Amino acid sequence: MRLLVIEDEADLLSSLAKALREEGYAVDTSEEGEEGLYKAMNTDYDAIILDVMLPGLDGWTILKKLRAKRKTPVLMLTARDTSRDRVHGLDLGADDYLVKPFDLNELFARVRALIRRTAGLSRSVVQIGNVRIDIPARQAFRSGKAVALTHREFTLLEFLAMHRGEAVSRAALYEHLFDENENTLSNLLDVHISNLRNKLGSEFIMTRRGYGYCIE
Amino acid sequence: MKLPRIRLNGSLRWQLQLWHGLLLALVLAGFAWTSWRLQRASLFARVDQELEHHAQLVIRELHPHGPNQSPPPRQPPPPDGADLGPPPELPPDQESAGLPAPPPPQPPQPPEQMEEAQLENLNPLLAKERDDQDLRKNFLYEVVWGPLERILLRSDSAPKSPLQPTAGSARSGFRIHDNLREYFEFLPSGECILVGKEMGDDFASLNRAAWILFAVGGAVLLIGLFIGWMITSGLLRPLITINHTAAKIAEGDLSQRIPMPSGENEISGLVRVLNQTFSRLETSFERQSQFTADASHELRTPISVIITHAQNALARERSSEEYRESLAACHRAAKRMQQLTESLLALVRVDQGGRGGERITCRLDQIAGDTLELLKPLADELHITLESDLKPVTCTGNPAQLAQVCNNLLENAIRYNASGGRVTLRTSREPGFSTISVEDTGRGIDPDDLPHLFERFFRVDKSRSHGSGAGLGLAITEGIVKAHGGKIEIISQLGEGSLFIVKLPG
Repeated sequence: MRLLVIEDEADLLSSLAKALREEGYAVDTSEEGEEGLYKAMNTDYDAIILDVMLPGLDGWTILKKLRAKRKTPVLMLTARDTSRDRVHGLDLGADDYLVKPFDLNELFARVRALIRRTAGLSRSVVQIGNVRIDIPARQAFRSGKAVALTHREFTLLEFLAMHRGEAVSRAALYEHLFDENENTLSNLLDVHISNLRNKLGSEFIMTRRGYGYCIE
Repeated sequence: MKLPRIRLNGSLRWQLQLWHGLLLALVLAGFAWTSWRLQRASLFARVDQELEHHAQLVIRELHPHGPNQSPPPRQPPPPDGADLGPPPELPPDQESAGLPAPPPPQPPQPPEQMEEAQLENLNPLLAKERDDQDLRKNFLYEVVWGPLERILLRSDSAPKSPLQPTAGSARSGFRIHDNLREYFEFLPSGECILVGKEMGDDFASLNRAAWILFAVGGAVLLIGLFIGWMITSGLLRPLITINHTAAKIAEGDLSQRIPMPSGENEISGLVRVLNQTFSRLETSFERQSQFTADASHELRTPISVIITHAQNALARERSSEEYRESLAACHRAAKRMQQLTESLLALVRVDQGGRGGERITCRLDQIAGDTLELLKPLADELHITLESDLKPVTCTGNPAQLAQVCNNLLENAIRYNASGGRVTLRTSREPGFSTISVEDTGRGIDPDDLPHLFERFFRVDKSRSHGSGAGLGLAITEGIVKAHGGKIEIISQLGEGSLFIVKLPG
């Protein structure tokens, strides 16, 4: 799951990015409106966390321009808390709204909910065959027994599960699993896939040769 | 004239109504009374003239040769009754015709003629003949007393026991008793004659007139009160509207305005003044709430930094490097909040009218020089050259606040300068005022931004990344300068730099 955080307060941005990475997300950051909009337009993020007061382009303008092209879920982050501001943001196409100062756990929960809703899932626990995936707990179970997964493995599983029945290309997996700063090795994905198959069953993840992977 | 104040539940309407009603009632009563008196007086005047005239006739009848001789009975009067002018109800022809000297047995005659005929009532038979016709009201009657109070003559229509006037006070006069109006006269020959008239009907009609006046007056009073009520209501309606609107505003709805009454009068002037006041109040309240919103907004971002860093650091065991990073971020955020609260306090002091300390005569050039020294490290850090040209200048003011003015202007000039730029500080004396000027070689100010430059929380660059300012520095600066009775002028060229000139009186 890859996120973009656009926030001009450097200290806040750094702690947000760090906390989200620890939650298992790949996180891109931007301190400035124009750059943020460029990234948002050209990468398929799973969600965007957007501050309203920004140098260059403000949050509302970014949202408006983004909505002309992409449906990426956006969570607005702002210090303005009047209901007029909220209504304005939601009307412009924001998917959620969080007022500063906020609790990190609430932010995590809202981001999870945004991604889940976008994937069309109504519940945060997904059952596929004998495998159960508990997204908030970031825990997978095989036949009721907990399976130890690394962050990245779990994220890979989560992403494939959310696109259940679809073939997901390797390029898409790379885009959603690694952030802009990671120097990804081309076989890293194969390693994670093979680990997941070992832990959850060799038939759990199917290979679409020459394209990508799929959970049936 | 000062009217006594009558309190009727404090209602202006009832007070107006009461006074208006009283006045109207007074006027109507006066009018009706006068009119009734006039009517009565004219009635008496007419009757009295009639009586006097009749008395003359009787006298002439008694003493055809003058009142000093004893009465020669059965002497016809000279037919000169008409000379005296006829009483209103006696046509002259009838009068003269009714006085034939030897009275024959007469047929029923009009009452006016009978009095004259009655003079012959030394012969009671003749009088008897007319009795039946005489017993009617509204006829004149006469009684003649001889000396020794003996009734010489009494017409039948006269009261049975006429009251003899007492001599002494006046030789002649009018009196009234029992609906009878009477005229008496004492003749030199010793007789006393009395002519009178029964006035029951006249009094009744006078009474009727009084009642009509009373009824009409009452009706007019009621109509007047009603019209007065309408007028008062019309006049008071704008006041009631003002009251309603003011009540709503008092409840907190500052957007309310009093509807302008049609036409131009005292009320519309009042409404205009009130509406202007409400507008100013609303603007000032909006500014205040905007200011509070901005202030809380400015505080929220550093609070978010502290909360997220602390939460993050506490989430699990961290390396000391990570802890140090988080603490440093918290420290920076706390510093910013400190600066912000200090700026807010400074603004509050400025708003309270510059009560931030006593005013003394101070050396502006020294204050400016000291401030410049303090900012040297910051300028060095940002590679800005500081220059100064400080001529000795004094002014009356608060040294700490004036130092803050210098500091704010200089810090802005340094922070928003291009690296390698220059800041020049000058003090000088101009006719009427002392000036401090700060010139920089920064990027200049957009003409669109100039009008907003001194607004609270206004930042030319919306970014917070340029350092500490929350957009209050210039607002505080302007507040202090204004409190000192001075002003700030700005000359700015985009891309070349700005010049801030502070002019202080004295």
